Amino acid sequence: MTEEDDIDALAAEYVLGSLSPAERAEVDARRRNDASLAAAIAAWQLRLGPLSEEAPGLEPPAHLFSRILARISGQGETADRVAAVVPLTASRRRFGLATVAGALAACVALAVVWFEHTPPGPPGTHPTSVSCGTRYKVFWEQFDRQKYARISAEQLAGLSRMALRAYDACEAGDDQDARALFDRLARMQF
Amino acid sequence: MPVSRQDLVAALQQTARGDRAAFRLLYEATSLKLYGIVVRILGRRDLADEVLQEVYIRVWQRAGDFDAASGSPITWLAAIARNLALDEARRRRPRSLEEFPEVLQLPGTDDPAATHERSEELKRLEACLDGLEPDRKELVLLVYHYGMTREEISGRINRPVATVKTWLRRSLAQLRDCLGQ
Repeated sequence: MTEEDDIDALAAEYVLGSLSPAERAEVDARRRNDASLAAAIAAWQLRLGPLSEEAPGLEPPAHLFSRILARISGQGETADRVAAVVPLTASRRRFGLATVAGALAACVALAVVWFEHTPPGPPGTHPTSVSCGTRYKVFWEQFDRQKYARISAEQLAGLSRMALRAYDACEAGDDQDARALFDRLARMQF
Repeated sequence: MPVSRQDLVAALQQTARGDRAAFRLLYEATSLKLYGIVVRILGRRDLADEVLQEVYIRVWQRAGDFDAASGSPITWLAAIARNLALDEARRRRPRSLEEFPEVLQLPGTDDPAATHERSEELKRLEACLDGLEPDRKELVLLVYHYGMTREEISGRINRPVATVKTWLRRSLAQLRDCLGQ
């Protein structure tokens, strides 16, 4: 069996859902940096996805949507701010100091808004949500403000993106990946 | 509430721009389906309630990632639901065999209401699934719909885990070749 077959088989079982918890965690960590694995997963999602069409529905409890709305309240602003920060790298334009300062303000505000609006949830159900928001906030708090003046807009956007990835990994319960990313962020020198 | 694929695409695009009315429409049109998916994988409604909330919060945050050119909105949403449900199920292992239904009610292929809603992609996939040995087909569907691991299947059908793995991988390779994509 070639390595390519192996990756494809792993991706197939990942999408199907038959992997053990350890294997699944491994694939989750690996797919972020392994383009061929990520592509194989996407291809299998397209192949097997149509099976979801025939899944019989079930009525969720009536109160659920209002709980979802309550949890996204305050996040609308967060999403707008993320959108404002992320295109920095996408467009790869040159930015003046004002843009960097704007991005800085957005990052700090984002961190604060995010933290303040991350509800703790019922005990035991979201053990990671508070600590993820806290870790995100702590990272930006510890990031010396003077450093912003020394780094390029592109670096700042990269940093912001990495911090969001760490937050996402943490929220997704992928602690190993989140810890590795937060550690890398903390060690960065400018 | 039956909503066309086009309506769902529009609702997702508006949700990506922070439109809560569109988000509500999206929820009303799809939560029945996604809750069904999540409940079957988790086997517990209390957990499913939590996971379904996470699903829609993620949809709210990531609606902009949906690419109408590379798949239908419902399969995109279902993939998010399956992923979060599988993650939660894996965190709570091991499940006992008693947690699985004795008679597995796999989604019916003889439900007349479902027949006319089937997409071309699903019809093609079902034709390929019919090309598998019946017990292998059931295995694939069991894993997909109930999120059973190889170990759980091994216990259920009384075969070594390695055999289950081989069967699954061969069946999946056969499906891939049959689909030709």
